[in-house]
Amino acid sequence: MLSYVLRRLVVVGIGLLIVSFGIFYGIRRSPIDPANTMIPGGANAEEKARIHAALGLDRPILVQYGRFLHGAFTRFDFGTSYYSHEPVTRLVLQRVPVSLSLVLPAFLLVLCVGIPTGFLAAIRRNSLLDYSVVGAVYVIQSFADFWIAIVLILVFVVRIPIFPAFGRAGPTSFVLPALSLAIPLFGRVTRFVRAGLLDVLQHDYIRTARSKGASASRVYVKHAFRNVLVPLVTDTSMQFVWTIGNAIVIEEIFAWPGIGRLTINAIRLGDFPTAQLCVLFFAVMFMVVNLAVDISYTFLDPRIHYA
Amino acid sequence: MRHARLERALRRRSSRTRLGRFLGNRRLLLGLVLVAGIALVAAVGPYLAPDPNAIVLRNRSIAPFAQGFGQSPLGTDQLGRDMLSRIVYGARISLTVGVVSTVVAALVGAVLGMVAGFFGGKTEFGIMRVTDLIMCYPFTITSIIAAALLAPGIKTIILIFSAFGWTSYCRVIHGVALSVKQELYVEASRAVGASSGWILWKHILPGILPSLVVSATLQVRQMILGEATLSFLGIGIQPPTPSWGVLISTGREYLSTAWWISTLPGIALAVLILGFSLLGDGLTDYLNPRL
Repeated sequence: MLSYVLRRLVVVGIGLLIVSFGIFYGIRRSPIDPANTMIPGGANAEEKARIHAALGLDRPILVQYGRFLHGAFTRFDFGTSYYSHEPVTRLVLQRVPVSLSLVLPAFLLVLCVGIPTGFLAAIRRNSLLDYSVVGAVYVIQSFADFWIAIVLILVFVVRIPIFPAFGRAGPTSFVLPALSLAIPLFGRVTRFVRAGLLDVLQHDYIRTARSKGASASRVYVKHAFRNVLVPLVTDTSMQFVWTIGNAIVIEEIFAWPGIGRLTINAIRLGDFPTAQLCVLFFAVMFMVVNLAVDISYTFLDPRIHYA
Repeated sequence: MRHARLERALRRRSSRTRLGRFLGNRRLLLGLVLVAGIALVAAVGPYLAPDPNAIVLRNRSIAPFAQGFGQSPLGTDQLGRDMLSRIVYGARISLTVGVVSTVVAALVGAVLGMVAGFFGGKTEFGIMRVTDLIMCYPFTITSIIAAALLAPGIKTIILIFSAFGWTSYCRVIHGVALSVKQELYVEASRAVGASSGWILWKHILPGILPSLVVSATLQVRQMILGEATLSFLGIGIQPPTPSWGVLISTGREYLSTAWWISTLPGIALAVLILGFSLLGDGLTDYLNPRL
């Protein structure tokens, strides 16, 4: 088990190096030039040369990468933003909790609404409730999350001014962004729970429990739902991590200072150090969560274990 | 005799014939109607619709149906451009991006998946590890970052989507190829002396086609939504080209005065995605043998 984890960590490390070099190289080869964004109206050749020299961009890419790695490994310093002149690590660490404070409530909402809905739909299979839930979920999942956000703004900000249109201040400003994220997601959880439960309910041990006289709630909750929990937890954790990245559009609409918005603005402005660390942050997050989820399988389902 | 008549009278679709199953599958039919309908509109519409980029400031911000069904039935935007023709042109863009990216990604993924599944060994290991590496990262955020790095435009979008989209096909086809490889007729072909290429073409390929078609139909949704998202963020299709994402984005400023600029394209987007969902799920039922 320990050797498996170590092997996976090595693969993660190599992957991160590949990603870091990929974004390092990619952004320097892209049409985006910090010189053009720093000087309004574009920079001429002389100004470009000066700015590039000042930022260290005139050195060969491998040299630049070497310096970046050196700073990263020795001092944990990933550079300074070209624009705000703050250490990039601080910038990123400031933004991450903001994104989390958006995604976390959204997910709680999704789970609180989605799990019971899927549960009920599975228990009352082929009833009117089941069909309407499945149908509604089907249709709702066809809408784009940014469109739902805009419609919510239209109804609850423009027409009936209850919630603020943007910004992140006060409890009311959390409602619309969290809802916009939650609505497209909840369909997936509902379908997952429903499908999982329907599958589990076919099994023999359910029949055994019923024939032993167990009450409906005991059968459904203790026996059936428990077995849906494992795949549900793993799928939800992956979704959670993905949503932190996908929240970028919602952050953009509601002007929240989150990590997604930082990433895209950094790339647009040519703020290389910030963009690099942001991309690296996402890479670390995805890889580590992947690994954590795989390891958690061994604890959640005793039948699985790695060599 | 009476039973046959009764059946015909009740108009029950025979679930034994292919045509019967096709026509009786409501989701498949509805999905096909929606998708084909939108495709038809996208293909023919531009010849019938007024110029979507024609700015007529005198007609700006007219509400839908304010002038009846004759002029601008869906209203105009803030510059007087007709909403209906903008949405129709947008349908063209969404469908083009969606279908082309999916076809390319599916081809690449299917070929790699077949090769990996059929030949096994080091080839399989290499291909599947690369697939795992790319699949680690969610499609949306990766395509956003990639699109931000490259010059915006339809070609870039198709390139990015194809480059990141093939992995799910590879996974699925790899699995199917593995199971088809076990079939007796493959072993028999080998025994008779068929070459690998022949077996791949004649036996494996038909075996993976149903799964491929279903996967592709369901993946198109991701591509269409991805294009809309990228255009919305300003890193995909650029204004004034009327992609639905661009329309929704421009309409944001005018929510209080002209809400239809953002709302209507979003509905069109949802209908198209719903159509593909129905089509894909209907095809799953239709193509999988009923036991």
